[in-house]
This record gives sequence, structure tokens and C-alpha cells, in this order.
Amino acid sequence: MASIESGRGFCPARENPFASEHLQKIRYRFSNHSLTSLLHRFEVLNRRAAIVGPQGHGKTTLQKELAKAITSATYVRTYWVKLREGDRKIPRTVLDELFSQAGEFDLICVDGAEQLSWWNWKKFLRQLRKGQGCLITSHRAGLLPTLTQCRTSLSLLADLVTELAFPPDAAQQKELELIYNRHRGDIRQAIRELYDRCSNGLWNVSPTDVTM
Amino acid sequence: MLEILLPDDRTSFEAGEVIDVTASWSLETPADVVELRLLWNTVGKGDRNLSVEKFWKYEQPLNRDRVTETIQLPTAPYSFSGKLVSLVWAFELIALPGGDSTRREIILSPDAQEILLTSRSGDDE
Repeated sequence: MASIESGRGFCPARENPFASEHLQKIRYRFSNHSLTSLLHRFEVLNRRAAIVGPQGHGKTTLQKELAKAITSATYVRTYWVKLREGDRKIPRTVLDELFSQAGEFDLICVDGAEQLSWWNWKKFLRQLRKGQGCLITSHRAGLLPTLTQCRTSLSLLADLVTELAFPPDAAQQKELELIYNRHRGDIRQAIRELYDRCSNGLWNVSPTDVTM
Repeated sequence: MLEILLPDDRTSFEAGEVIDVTASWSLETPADVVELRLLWNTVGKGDRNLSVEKFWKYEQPLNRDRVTETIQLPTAPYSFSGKLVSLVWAFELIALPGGDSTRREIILSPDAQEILLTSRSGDDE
């Protein structure tokens, strides 16, 4: 396990428990709603809904979880459009390919829909066929009916640290609180900071190194 | 159960070294293909890069079998680690379509030691 006492003077990336490949394996933790209740609500909303919340609050993780559940329970296929900061429109070639391939009842997931300009969002909606589902993530409500609002908490961060490394001790709990508040609940950024702290030997993750 | 056996159970090798690798499996459900892969991937703070350098396919495999391959290990890239990124070599054995798999990481470099990216001051990268 990663430890600055290893004599190397730093924690190699491959031993860092906060490396991105470990984060990708983390499943969404349902708190306010169960997976079943969200799937039911998605149907009630006529299979067009938004997962809303600030950056790093688990929207994409939940979207993937729901899409997986929807496609495994039915015969629909899922198509993904991932928008990055500044993507005000979906390239025409991507849209053409998407709508030529997607079937009548397939699910189209748009991650980061708030990036699209109002005009391009409306244009995208107009191209959706009647039966096609659409599940989006967005920083703001209003693009589609809200399926759920994603929120994080300090205890969630502590749970994730426990899953990735070891349960934080009292001193680490205090540090976690500072980190959580510094990143305003953005768990992704908080864990990136933990990666840096770990790589510099400022966050012990070996149980034998923990001072009780 | 899938297993990768390395010579003398070593996990560190010189770049370009020729070794015998044994792939062994005992499957509960029949597979269409069992594949042994030699690959490297990066791990760290950023996105993961991966490159499968060599692979061996065993089509319509028996449920229980053992195959030994004589393999010349690649000469590059070397296994290395810094704070931000590590390059990790590994053998993977996977049964498809089920997806059961196993992985054994190895070190590959001129002197069979992982290269550590550190400066004298303790900073790196």
C-alpha cells in the first residue's frame, strides 16, 4: 500500500488509491431514491428527464447506472452524446449519425446538456422521435422535467475514501471536511486533491501508518 | 478459474527477454475463445491509456486446458512510476464472451527494475 515510508519519497501513481481508474469503478450510491423508484419515475415522465446538480455531484455516474438498468431490462439500445465545457452545439455529423442509427424506442443520453445553446437544445429536442427516450444531465433545471437532484455530503466523501483506501482517522476526517468545503461538494475535485496529497505523502492510506 | 504462470514466479523481466508463459483455465461455462494478452496501460491522475502489444487466441477451447507460449518480451516502453502517472505492463487472460479474466502485472525494463521518476529534491515530473 502507498506509504511515504517506503523509502521512495513519494507514492507511485500505480499505488495511489485515488487514481482515476479506481474512481471509474465506483458505483452510484442511492440515498433519497432507489434505482427502482427512479426508473419508475422516468417512465412516468414519458422517458424524457434530467438529472440535475452541480459539477462533481454524481450526475454522470447516476446516468450511466440508469442507462445500464434500462437497457438490461428492455430491448432498447443506448446512444451517448458527451458534451464538454464550451460545446454549444452537437456537430451535424454526430447528430446525423445518431438519428440515423437510433431506433424508435431507443434511449439517447446527453451528458452535460446545459452546454448547448437554447437554440441548439430546442433543435435537438425537435429531432427526437416520439418514442425515443432521453436522459440528460444538466447543471441547471428546466431543460427537461427533473428526475432527481444529485447532492453530495461529507459522509459520502468519507464513504468513498473508505472504499478506495481505508477509513479516515479523526485527523483525516477534519481534513476531509476542509477539502469537501473547499471544493463546494465537488467530489471529483476533492478526490483529485486527495490524489495529490497521497502522492506527496500527505495522506497515509496504509492502516499501519495511521496514528491512533 | 484462470491462471497465468510466469517462469519461477518472477514478475520482473529485462526488456526483450524470452520467457515461457503458461495460460491455464478451468471454466464453469464453455467459452468461444480464450485470449492471452500482453499489454501496457497507464494509471494515475489522468485518463487511462492502454495498448495491447501481443495476443494469442485459443478458439473453441476445452473447458479445462493449459497452454505454454514462448514469448519475446517487447523492448519498450519501460515500466516506470512517477507521482502523476505509472506505466504498467501486464499479462491478461480472458474467456469470452463471459468475460472471466485474470491479470498479472510485470515489470519490464533494461535491468528488470521499475524506473522511478524522482529528482534529487524529491520532486518529480
